[in-house]
Amino acid sequence: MKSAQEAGRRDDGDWRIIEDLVVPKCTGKAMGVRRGQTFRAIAHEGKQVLDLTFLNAHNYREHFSAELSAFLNSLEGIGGYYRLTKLYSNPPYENVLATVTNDIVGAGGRGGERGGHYIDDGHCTRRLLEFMGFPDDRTCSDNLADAFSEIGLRQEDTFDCTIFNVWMNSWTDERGDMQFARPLVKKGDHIDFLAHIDLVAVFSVCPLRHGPCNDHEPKAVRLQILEEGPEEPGI
Amino acid sequence: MEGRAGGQFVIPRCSGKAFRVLKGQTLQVRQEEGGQVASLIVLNAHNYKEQGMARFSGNLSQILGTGNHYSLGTVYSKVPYERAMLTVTRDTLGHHFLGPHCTGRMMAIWGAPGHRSCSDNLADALVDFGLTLEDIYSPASINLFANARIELTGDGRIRCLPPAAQRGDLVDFYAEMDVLVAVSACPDDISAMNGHSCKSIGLQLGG
Repeated sequence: MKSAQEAGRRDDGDWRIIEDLVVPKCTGKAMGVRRGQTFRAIAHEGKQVLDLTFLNAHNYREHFSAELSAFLNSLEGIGGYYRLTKLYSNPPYENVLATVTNDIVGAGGRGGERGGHYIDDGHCTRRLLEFMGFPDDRTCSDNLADAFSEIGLRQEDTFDCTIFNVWMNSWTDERGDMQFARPLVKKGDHIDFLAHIDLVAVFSVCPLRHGPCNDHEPKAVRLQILEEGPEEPGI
Repeated sequence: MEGRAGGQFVIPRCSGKAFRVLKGQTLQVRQEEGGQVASLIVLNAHNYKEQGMARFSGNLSQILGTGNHYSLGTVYSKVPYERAMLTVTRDTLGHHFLGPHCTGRMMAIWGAPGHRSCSDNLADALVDFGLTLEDIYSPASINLFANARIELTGDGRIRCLPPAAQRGDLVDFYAEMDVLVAVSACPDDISAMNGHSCKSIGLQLGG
């Protein structure tokens, strides 16, 4: 991970890059995001799912609530199960933790019939892979266990299953079955999350190699912490 | 309300109740009057950190061919446990919604701030077991008899439709482990979820 000064350069927008990190395929990681900063995920190598959640940095019992967010965004007309604008936390808090401020896939810029993400209380787990016939494969559960351990949490002590499955092109069909297709995202696309409070982003670069989820080949994802504004002197 | 004795109970409209169901017992959730949603959350009776997952249980059940996001097979617990908690043995309606229950924020968005929600019912029900809403990891619950649909395209918005359940419709569960079950007789009379009229829910413990 680069320090703020090492990474303190501007990209194509009016941003200062505070952290810039390529997270290897099939791994998990936690990153702090301060209020007002933007967490950017970049499809560094192409079609790859990022299983992402956020926690209140000062109270880990308050965390992103995926399906509640899908429902509330649906009522507000700003999203649903396939795209989100506001990321809400779990009851009794129900605060807006972050908003999506830039999302080319969700905005329809890469085609497709739906938002191009999957908002779900679920990610690939050991039981899921066991049922699929691959009991020894690495899963998002493993990655997220590693990621949560960075902030001192065990999976028993949190709910890592409430996930913004970034770029996961899945949906619920008429019957109620979950369906899968190749991600719509293209190499170099990004999605931005503006933090409304101090957050910890916890994520898994999904290791699933079966099916179209990651286009049959897990890849790395690039994550950045950005701040708006002019470049600081001396950087 | 627990133990081997069993018995029939009614959850009055707009309220909640929590109770233990022991391994091997059966739990029946029944329409007393028809057109009413019952929102369930499930916890390991001996380790409240092991909690049931709603929608993901649908995913696991789909692989086994026993359920999906709208029809329940088995309720599994969250990672790192992922164990069977309850299994459906009879379901006369066959359409439910595995997703969030109604909350205070939901009511506020509907223009009814302060209106009672399933969050309130479940919080009341859990008090007797020393639990608060903060101890419940996810508001995603097993919304029995809920006729909600996720749009197939676009943003994937949720449509709340009037319930199709009629008086006498029921779901029977078999307890795969000792569980604590909290049930909310959904107090939402704002959306179409309960047909704009809240009613009671019947329960029966057996075995």
